[in-house]
Amino acid sequence: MDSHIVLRKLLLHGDLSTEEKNAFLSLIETPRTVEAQRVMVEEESAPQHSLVLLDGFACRFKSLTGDRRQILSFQIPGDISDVHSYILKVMDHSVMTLTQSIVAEMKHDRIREVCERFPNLTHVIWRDTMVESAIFREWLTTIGQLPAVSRVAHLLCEQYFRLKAVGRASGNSVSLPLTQSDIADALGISVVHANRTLQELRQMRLIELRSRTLTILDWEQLAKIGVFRQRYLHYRDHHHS
Amino acid sequence: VTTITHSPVRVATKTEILDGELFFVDGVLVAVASKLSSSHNSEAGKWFTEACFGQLESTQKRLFDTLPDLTAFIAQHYA
Repeated sequence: MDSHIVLRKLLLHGDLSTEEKNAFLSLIETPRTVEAQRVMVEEESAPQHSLVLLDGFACRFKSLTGDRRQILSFQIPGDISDVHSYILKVMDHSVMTLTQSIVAEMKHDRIREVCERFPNLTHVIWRDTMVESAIFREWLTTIGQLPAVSRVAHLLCEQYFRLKAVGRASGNSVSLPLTQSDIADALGISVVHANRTLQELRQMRLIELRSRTLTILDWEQLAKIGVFRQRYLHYRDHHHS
Repeated sequence: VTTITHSPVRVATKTEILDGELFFVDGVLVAVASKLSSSHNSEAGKWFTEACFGQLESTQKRLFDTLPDLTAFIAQHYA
């Protein structure tokens, strides 16, 4: 049961009893496949359910005038992509798939019911959303203060580290289906600079990025350039390290 | 009547040196554009605004197919 992608994610944030795990899994409705580049949740909508990503890649974003957008975060398997909507009711951003994905709904009234019965499970879900806030703080700091090469290095470190934590890494490689345009829109740089920066990191022999697979060649150096310190992700295994 | 002129320059990126143009409005520098090389994949040959000043400063860095396209864009902002 622990191998279920959603539990792998939640167990990074706290222990759960078998009963709590079952209760959480019972919230997950029948999964469905969503094509790439589909908006699943619209800004200003008031969904009656949250979505959990079981496979694929998605992002949260805000639309700006013209065809501009700011990507706020990337969603990987195991992420509950809008647990906010359970509490905040009206979406202040949108969620879209980047690749073909498998998603499942979690109905708000059932989340409430289960959370009232299992305070420890509520705590772990709360902790998961707190870590999301920590990731936003990290992005704000990185994007606001660091040069393009550090922003890209940080993003690659974070995605690799998060994917690895839910068992989606194979050695030093992860599937990372982001386009240069996605990276540019997430980091506040032009597509030209996203392209150049990836080339720079390749030329430094820190990464390989081909056919949507990221391979980390020199983690230490990449983390140094990206000022990536994993503590902000608050994974339990790294608490005391 | 504003006069837009440009003159060639070499532009350094972190990994290579590109052909570029300095753009002037009535003799005042308003943009540095570079011609993207083959390392920019499908964007190769297009003109990219590496840096913009004055009325152009708040515009997004962007690509143009030709120098006349870029000149027209500058003219719009100094109309």
